[in-house]
Amino acid sequence: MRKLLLALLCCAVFPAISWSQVKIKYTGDPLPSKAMGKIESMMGHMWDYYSSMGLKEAMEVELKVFKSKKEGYRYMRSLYPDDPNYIEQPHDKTMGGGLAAVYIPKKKLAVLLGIEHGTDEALTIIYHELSHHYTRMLFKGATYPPIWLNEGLAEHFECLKLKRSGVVSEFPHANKGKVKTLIMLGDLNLEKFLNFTQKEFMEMQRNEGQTCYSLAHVTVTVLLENLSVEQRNTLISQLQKRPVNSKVSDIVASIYPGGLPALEKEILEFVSR
Amino acid sequence: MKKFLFLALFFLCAAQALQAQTMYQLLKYPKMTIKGVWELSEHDNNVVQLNYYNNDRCPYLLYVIDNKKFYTVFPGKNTVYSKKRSAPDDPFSKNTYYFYRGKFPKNLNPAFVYAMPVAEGTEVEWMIDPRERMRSYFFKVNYADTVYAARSGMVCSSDFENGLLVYHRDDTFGAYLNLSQRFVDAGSIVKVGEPIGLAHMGGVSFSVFFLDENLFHADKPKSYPYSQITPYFRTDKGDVKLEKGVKYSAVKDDPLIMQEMSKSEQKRYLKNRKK
Repeated sequence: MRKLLLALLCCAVFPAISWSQVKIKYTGDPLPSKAMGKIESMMGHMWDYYSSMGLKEAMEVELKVFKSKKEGYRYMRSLYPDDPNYIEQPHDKTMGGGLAAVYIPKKKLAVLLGIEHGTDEALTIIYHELSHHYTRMLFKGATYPPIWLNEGLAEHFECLKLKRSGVVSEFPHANKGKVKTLIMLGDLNLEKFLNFTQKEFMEMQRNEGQTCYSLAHVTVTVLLENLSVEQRNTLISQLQKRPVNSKVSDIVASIYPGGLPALEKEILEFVSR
Repeated sequence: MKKFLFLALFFLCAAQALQAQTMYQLLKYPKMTIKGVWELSEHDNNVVQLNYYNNDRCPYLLYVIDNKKFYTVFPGKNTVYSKKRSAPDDPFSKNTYYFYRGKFPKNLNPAFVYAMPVAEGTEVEWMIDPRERMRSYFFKVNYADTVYAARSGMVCSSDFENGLLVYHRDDTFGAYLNLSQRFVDAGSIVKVGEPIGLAHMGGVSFSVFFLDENLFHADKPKSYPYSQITPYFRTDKGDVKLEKGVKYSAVKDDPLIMQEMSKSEQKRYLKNRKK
């Protein structure tokens, strides 16, 4: 009887989860059970979202958690001994920076490199990394997702909060502010940004801090707000089918009503709100 | 594999973290630069005033969290708040306020043309400073080569010896890093093209930035609320935003030097130049 009640309670708390499709394996240091419940609930929401864009394959992802960044970096160094990203820098301590988490597509593994900043912050990072997993699954067997779409969706899920009333998006003011400044300085080149390669995106990340993530987030949000479900799915489908050397900006321009000038205008309006 | 790994990298608080230590040190202001004192009003003994004394020659921004207001603290005495002595608590009583260098620019001109901070006519290689990043331009010159002011402005106070912070007329800052020697002290006015120091090993780093209102949120103070500008430089290839892999020579012609001069200053400059 007790077990039945517990099962009913779980269904009431996490109604969005399609259990047959969402599988997560926790390894490493344990997370509080409340946090695990939230992760699974968010995964259910992600599944609904991505399946509406055409994701069909059953998901399985491993989440490895390290309590301390030191341990997390040590683990990553054991996997990639030559990668300088996993050497802790002095400013990681003094300025709260450094890598927070990594998703390794080949292993379907999300690694959380430390939860020193608390469970709530860890959860947002986990949502971010899990979104990468879903996006990669959505583009499985197709051309790789454009970097702005991958990071923009991840930022979108990172900013979602689970409330009693449902899932609520809390768009960070800082993301809007950075894009607003980018536009104010005349540095927004949307066409170039949409066609960014991995390398170019990371170069912008190095030179401009979080601005490229903010722009990816704003762009994805504006697209989601203004495209119908049908248009959105057409966009995803065309991005999946695109030849490797094709211009992503042309695909976006052909689907977004009014093309890139209209998208740019909507972006400006969004960040000015 | 590495490519895919990079795809998933997520940098936490990168805006702060990517600021290297040198810029962070340059921006730190010396102790007692700003001093806040409750004082009796000179005109009314029943009124107390909160006065801030700014001992620097550049403005600061006071951000009070409790009333979510910004106050510009100019050099000298600034009365930011007054109240009757008997009045209850004020927004300053909780000590939740922050200071930042600079003030929000009102007439920012991103198209302003800067001089390259190196000797005129010498072709130099450049790159984004790997230590500073964030649009900091590292000009590869020899150790002890002279470094020149990229724009006219006022030198701000800083305890950091290997750099110079110059406050410009449009409320932007110019940061010169990796200096082995400084020729000018806090409070000095430098003119564009004027020698300001010597380069350290490898070269000199220069960046332009401003206190960015867009980065402030009502109740969230920022540790680095500045945005960097990609400056235009006057070069042998015109007024350009520097392109990767291209070498440039600095050009310091009269129109560039006279850009921010008043008409009388321009006349004087041209007259002296003829001599």
